[in-house]
Amino acid sequence: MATMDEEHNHDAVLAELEAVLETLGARPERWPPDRRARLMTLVDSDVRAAQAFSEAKALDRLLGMAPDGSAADADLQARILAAAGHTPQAHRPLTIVGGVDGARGRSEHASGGSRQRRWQAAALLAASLLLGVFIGLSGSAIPVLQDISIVAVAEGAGSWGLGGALFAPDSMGGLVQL
Amino acid sequence: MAEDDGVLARRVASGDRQAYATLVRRHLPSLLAMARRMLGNAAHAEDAAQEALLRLWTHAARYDPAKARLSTWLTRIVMNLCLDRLRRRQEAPLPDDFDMPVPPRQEQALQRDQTAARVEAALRALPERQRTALVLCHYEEMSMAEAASMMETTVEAVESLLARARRGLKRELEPEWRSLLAGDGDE
Repeated sequence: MATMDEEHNHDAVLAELEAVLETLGARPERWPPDRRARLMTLVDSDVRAAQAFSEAKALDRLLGMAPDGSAADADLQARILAAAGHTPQAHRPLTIVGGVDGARGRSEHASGGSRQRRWQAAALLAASLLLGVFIGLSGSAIPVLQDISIVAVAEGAGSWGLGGALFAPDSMGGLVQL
Repeated sequence: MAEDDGVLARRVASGDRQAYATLVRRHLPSLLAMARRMLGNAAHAEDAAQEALLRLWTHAARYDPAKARLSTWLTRIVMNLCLDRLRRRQEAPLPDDFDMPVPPRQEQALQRDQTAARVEAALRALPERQRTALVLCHYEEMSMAEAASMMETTVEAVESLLARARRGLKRELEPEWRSLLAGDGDE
């Protein structure tokens, strides 16, 4: 006869099995390795455990029946290669700051919007270099900086000034620090 | 021997179209499958897979093999493209074959198609993050830690999302899995 401790232990392992099945399904190879043998022993020896396992397995089989479109036809491959054929590559390594958010990138490739922003960034960089040289030669930085800040505010309204850094929407969908 | 993804990606970055074609052939099926499961729509899935692979062409120079496998890099792009599309999609999409005439088929094949459509609809009805966790862990066979990293959340959160997803599917698809259990399902 099973002792209370044994029953308690059995119930605990059954609950553990049900939690694993609920999360990872009925493929033991996906279960945590340190629990796999113990849980499978229960499945083999207990009616409720076997039933829970069978139900999870049936659900796994159903999930496997969902269409996956993986019979990718040659036509789609050809379309992708053709599209790449007339899409320029971006060679400059950039740092992705934010997440990727989607299809916005395609229209930017098509419109050349990112190229325009590169020119803006280059122009601003050149301006900052000239400013540095000017300040170095004149020795009176403060009035000049005041003037420049006014210009920067006017130029940057609604576009790229963001917390003191220069950002642009990235074609990967995130923000790119220029 | 098949050439390593990282090597091919470097060649793509330098404009090698042959290498690009090889990577497209290699990764398109799995990316398309993932997008299909996320979006539940074949045409949208093709768009997402195409866009992700175009970004491989345009941004191959950004890919760093030391940081992630190429498949992971591409999966992340597809996942985010799908999430973006789902967020922009206000109304529930119609099934691909909505209102289209079904050609006459064998009874068993028809039943299999109907079950597949039911499963796809149930997946599509899941909340976005539950579906994402399920696609990454169940279909893409990522560990919960990998999925958590990709979804920018914790392992515990992924575990909870998975459990809720499977509970919801089990409830929604009860007639189907009971039919499978009774041995009168497909096969």
